[in-house]
Amino acid sequence: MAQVVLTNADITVNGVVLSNRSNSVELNYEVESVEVTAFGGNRSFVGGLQNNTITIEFMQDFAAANVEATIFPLVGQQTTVTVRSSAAATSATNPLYTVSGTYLASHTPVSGAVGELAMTSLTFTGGTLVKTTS
Amino acid sequence: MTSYKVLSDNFSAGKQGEVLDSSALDGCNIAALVEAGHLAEVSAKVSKTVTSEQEK
Repeated sequence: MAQVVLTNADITVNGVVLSNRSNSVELNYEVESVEVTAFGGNRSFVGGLQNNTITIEFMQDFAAANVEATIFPLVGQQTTVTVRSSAAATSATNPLYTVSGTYLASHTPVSGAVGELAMTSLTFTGGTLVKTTS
Repeated sequence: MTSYKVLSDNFSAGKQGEVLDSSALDGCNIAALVEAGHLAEVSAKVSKTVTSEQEK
């Protein structure tokens, strides 16, 4: 398997394709470590709660049915976010990650300094992660 | 079961103009999609046949 350069990542938020307004995406999948170290042993851990985090940078777009219109009603709500490294068909080398029931706590509709591109950074937390390879 | 018409051209579950049942929108936040202008609820219409039968 060759190295992967992200040039055409596929992102949907609440079923809406917004890849063409994003330039950065990160899906973090972790299971909290719970310490179970007892006297007489070395440090030992078991898996606790799973916590998924998806951070997406969007170039702001106020057009109908685009970034802002799609995101604004999702604050304080759960939704589904999908991410693939490429928009090509889902496969073992291009898995689809679906996080359902993930929560969006905040959104910054207007952000940036003079002369800068207006961006909005979203962080979805929690939910259930499923990896699909076909 | 409620049906929704797809209004936007960037909704992954259906093409613009397509009518979807709510079962096809599993996992989606439908209220947010309606508010964002991606979907519109399709209201049931009474057919002409039914109307004429009632008039009889």
